[in-house]
Amino acid sequence: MDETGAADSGARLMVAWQAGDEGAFDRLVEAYSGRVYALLTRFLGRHPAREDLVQETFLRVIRARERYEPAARFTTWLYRIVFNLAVNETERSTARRELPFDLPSQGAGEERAVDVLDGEAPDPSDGLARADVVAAVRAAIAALPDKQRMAMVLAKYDGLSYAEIGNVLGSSEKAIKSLIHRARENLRVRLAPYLAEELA
Amino acid sequence: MNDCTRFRRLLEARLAGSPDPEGLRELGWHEHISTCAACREMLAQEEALELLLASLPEPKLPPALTARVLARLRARSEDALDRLLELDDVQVPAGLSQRVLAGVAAARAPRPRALPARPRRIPRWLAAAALLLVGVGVAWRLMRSSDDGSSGGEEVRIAQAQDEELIPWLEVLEHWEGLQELEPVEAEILAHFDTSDEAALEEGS
Repeated sequence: MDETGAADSGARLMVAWQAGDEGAFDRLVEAYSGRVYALLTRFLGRHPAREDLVQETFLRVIRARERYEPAARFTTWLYRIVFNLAVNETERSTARRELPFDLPSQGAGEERAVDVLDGEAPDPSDGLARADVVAAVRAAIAALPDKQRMAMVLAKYDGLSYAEIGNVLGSSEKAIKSLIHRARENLRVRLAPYLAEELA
Repeated sequence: MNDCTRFRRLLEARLAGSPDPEGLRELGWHEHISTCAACREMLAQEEALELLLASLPEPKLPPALTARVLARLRARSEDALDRLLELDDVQVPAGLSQRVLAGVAAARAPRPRALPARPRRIPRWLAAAALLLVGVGVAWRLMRSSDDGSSGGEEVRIAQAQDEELIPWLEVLEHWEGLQELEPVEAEILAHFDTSDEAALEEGS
């Protein structure tokens, strides 16, 4: 076990569970289900399948009980599961519906823009932030291609380093840097009117 | 590396991970900003974008999420166990036992002996050679009996000796005939066999 894994409470709980401490799995769900749900909300918007996907994430954890190795931070391992499930869900949703956003086409090799169910609808928890600004930011994030969106969300809202995001997305640190650079460019274009307001 | 490139690398480093707004503001005091409008604009855009992104509230978690997820995981685990246990209640196909018993009885029943393989047919050249030999022998004996003025007793001895010479060949032929159905071969023999020779042979012996 490397230092990263050893210092990680999630990894410690997984190892304890592997050793037969059944209560460790409950503590793992208590510690991480909220974070998984929040990540899914930022990635998918207020999608009705989020709670099912939290459950599916931990089902995958159960299946991986024997083969899990704490080689990296537990969250990067867990978020990789979340990312794969979320992308699958996005593809299923896309097949069922029309895209809600009329986006300019992305460059070659980029993932297609994805949908979000109600990303533009105001949420009661939005508080004092202007509802239209919040909705526009949500829509702009939702319009990013899968990898750009997950990289942006993990960097901005979960505070993961580029190396850790690389672990989640199966890409190099350099590729993540480039991915986030492109994501910020896309966001600047989409949010140009709101940026102008901020700068005025 | 020019000043713009150096400044933008500095900006990218500050933006990596979860950027600190204070760290971005500090860049506003960088000496390059006072002389480069493009980089000043770039920094302002990034700061404004950070503010917009920060305006998103924390996702609201549904109440009792953990308890519900754990309960559903346990329910699924119980369902999986039940499905495994239900394997004992698998419906047996109708008539399965009768089919199995019939199969067992058939396997136990004595099997009919396999018919011996059909022996090889006698080669035509062998039959023809044997017949030719018999014919030559008979002809030679008839010639001897008509031309030679030997006594009757001597003729009988000579004929017996010649017959004895022919016996092994005839036995070979009979052996082949006894081993197989020789209809085609018999027909062939008869086609080549002169019955007058046969009668003469009988008279001579």
